[in-house]
Amino acid sequence: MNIPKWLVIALIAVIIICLLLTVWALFFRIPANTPLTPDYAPVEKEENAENIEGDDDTKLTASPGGGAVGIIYSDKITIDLSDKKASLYFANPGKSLQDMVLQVVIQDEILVQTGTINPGKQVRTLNLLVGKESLLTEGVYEGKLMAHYYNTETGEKAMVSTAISVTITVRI
Amino acid sequence: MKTSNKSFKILIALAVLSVAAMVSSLCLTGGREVEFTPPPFDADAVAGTPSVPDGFGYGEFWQEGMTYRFSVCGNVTADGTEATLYFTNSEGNEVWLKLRVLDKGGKILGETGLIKPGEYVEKVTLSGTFEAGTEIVLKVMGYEPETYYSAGSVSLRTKIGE
Repeated sequence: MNIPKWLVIALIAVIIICLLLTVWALFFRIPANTPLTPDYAPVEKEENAENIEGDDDTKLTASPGGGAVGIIYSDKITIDLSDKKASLYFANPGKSLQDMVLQVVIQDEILVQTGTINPGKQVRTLNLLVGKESLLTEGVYEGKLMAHYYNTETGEKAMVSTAISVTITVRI
Repeated sequence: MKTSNKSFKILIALAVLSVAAMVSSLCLTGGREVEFTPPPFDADAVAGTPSVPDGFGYGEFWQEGMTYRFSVCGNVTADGTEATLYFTNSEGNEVWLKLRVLDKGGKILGETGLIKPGEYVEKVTLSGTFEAGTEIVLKVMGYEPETYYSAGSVSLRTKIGE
């Protein structure tokens, strides 16, 4: 079989170029600036978060070092003890400048704690923390929805949190 | 030019190997993300409350909304590269704290390791010597125990005292 001359030349050229690039990368490439180690451990993203449909992500403005958020929520929550889930509505609009972590609290007891809810995400169903279903009985409770805010880049928590009064209906 | 089949196969193999070597070397020497590494605890941390001499402006700091308290000297003095500030994690806190000294541009000049509630560190080593009057920022950073999630931070502006 006659191998085309141009193919042989092309292969040789590829080999030479690749070898030259390899030598450059290993011995002459200027190292990228050593990335800085993050200050804080990243909070895992909330697995139940979903995109907000039709969300406008035009960002709010904030002074340097500050933050700005918008929140959309329902003040009624339903907890199903058989499913060990909480049904609610909470959204972190795309215009927000911070990530959020949500807690459902009854009498200082944290029943639900989410992972990070990024701007542009909403949650409708959340899992109860392990074992918390044993603290509840069927009925209606007055509780709080706590929203905590985190810098989207550094993961640093803001000192300001939001407490929202909610009515929690517990069903078996 | 006639090339034997065997030589051609060798050429192809060399080409594949050289491409693989190039891709690997470019990937290995490129930028990459650095994973979080938990900050160490301060080896000089002392349990208890410090006996701070007069004149250092030592006091506890807390404001509505803060989830922890701490104490530190408002008058930070420097002897060479060592700054004395008696940074204290108040007993009763549920977070670990560390303190970072920054210049007014945000550059880190020094920082303590983590200290637990009921501990303090007397000094922090700075990256250089600084004259009295140099503006600095003391940034206290809180960490949730075990997870190392942020528990919030507080920044205080002050100056290197005499």
